[in-house]
Amino acid sequence: MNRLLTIKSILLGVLLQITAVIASANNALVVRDPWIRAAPPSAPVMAGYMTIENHSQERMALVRATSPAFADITIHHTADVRGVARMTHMPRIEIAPHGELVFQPGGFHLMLAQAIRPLRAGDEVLIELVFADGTRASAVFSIRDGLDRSADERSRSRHSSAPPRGEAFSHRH
Amino acid sequence: MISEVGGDFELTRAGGARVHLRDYRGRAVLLFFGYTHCPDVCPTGLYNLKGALEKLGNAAGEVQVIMVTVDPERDTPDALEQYVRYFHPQFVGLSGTAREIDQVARQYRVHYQNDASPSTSRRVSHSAYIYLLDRRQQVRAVFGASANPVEIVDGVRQILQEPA
Repeated sequence: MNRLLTIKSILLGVLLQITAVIASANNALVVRDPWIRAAPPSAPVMAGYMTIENHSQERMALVRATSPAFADITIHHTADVRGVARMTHMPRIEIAPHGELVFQPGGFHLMLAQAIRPLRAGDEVLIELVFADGTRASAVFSIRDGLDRSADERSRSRHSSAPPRGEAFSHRH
Repeated sequence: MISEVGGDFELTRAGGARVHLRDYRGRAVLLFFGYTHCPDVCPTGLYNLKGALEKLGNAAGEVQVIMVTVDPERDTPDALEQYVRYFHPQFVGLSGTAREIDQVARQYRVHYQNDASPSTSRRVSHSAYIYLLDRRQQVRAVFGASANPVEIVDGVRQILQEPA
């Protein structure tokens, strides 16, 4: 039983890697390091972060995000104005040709509300980013512990041979 | 001036118990104002406070982290306790009536403002500070929510060297 599960996991992993490579080759948009910060199971909202790279010659505008895992997603920006944190809803964010847009704590973030089920560190969800011209880019977001033990993590990851996570693929409609 | 900021207050804990800030005299207190419908800044602050407690090791027993909600309408005492305990089992969450919260916010110069959205999607703009109180409950330092835990630890260690 265990060996069968292992073989299936390996085949699935290979399939995803192949799919990701094929999709990436056509990509104008790449979503790098997509992650969601773990939050209390009772939390009404979570935050999603990533870097969106625009490899095209066109100015792209992010207007929406959807997911089977959250009924309500809105895009926000945290601004610190003289010590007061103000969250602003962003109906549209432009990314210059060959530019990138960084979503990180304290800045742009996806506000993820109405989770279908509680999510924990290690879970993964699919989120689709929608752009003004109809382009869509999907990425797998991993739920990560929010405590940044990064100095420890970096020294550990140097010894890891795990494949990179968070492949993205886009297609025009 | 920091010396004009702070003071005792009375709010409500999970289960309905009434609590005074002075109940925690003798410990260093890290006081944070936020709300649970806050996806970005508030978890950042709470994770940094968690990180600070971890780095303090045994000294964490002489520190109390308290989160006061600026959104008492949605953050009941029970909901807030469930929320903060996820970050660390020793964290305390306090709520109260709108008037009580407003009073505490004034004492600590916390600016907060609801936007005009309907209740479920309402966002609260608020000061994102962590207040460090000494064993006599004087406000001695103020950190941003995104402060490095090491900064918070340094401040706490200095405070703990002082007598109660």
